[in-house]
Amino acid sequence: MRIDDLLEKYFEGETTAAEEKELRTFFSSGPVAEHLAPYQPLFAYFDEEIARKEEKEEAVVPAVAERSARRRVFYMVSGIAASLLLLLGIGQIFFFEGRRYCADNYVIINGRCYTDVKTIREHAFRALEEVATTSEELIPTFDRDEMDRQIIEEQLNDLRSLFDEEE
Amino acid sequence: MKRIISTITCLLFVCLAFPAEMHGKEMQKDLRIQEVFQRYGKKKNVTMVELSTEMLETYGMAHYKSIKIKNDPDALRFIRRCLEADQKGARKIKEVTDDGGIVSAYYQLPVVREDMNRYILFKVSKKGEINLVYIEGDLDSDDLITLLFSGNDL
Repeated sequence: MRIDDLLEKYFEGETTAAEEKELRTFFSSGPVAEHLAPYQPLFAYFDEEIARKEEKEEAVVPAVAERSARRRVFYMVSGIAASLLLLLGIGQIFFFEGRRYCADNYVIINGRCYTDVKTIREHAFRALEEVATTSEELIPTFDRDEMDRQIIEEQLNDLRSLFDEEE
Repeated sequence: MKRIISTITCLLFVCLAFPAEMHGKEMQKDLRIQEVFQRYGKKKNVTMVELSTEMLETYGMAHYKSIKIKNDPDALRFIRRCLEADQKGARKIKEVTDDGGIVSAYYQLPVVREDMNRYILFKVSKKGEINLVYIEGDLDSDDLITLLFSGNDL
């Protein structure tokens, strides 16, 4: 009989998983031959244990799934945050650094920025010089000649009056 | 999750808020000539200077900015419009105009902060070269004139 052979193999520890399952199925299927009855509780116990284990695993699966979903969201959000920070960092280098580089003391000539103090001072001074109005610009030449004539005449008059007084 | 989102929001806020310029150049922000520096400062045939260090302290200046534009009638028109707007309420130290508009001008702007005078100097040469200077500091108009005609280097 096959079950007897399987039992013998089982107690010698030579059965495969499929053979052990076959044994469990046999003993859980209902009443068995009298000489096999003592083994029934043993295999029924194994069967129950396995069923309980499977139930437990089934219960654990949703919890694990929920945990891994939460972890996925966390990784996704962290990834987005890291990318944003990286972009901001790159932006700092190219945008803000560029502005800071040419922000306090500089001269921009034809779109090119120079921070050399001597060059900056030179151009700053030149701008002031050029914006300063010269006396020639304030008083037109013909007016200046007229003014000079008036001054000379006044001085000559003064001199004349001095001589007149002396006489 | 809420904690993560609020942490990220805070981080982003900190990152965006801090690099903002914190220089003390806010006083020229209300002026139209600020647009001249922004619009033409980096163009060809233009020289723009900005100074704001202890280099200026000797002259009573806290901030100096100038722009020189070569032969640009559009820029000249724009600058004249800006000057017209900025000179409202300002003391005219000097203003020379011809048929085309202002040729040369020195304006002392209304005081917005104690011990801080602001000046706009402008001149367009016969060759069409435009010079616009903005100065702020505790120097008075006499100091400015002395500086302009003394020929001292900055």
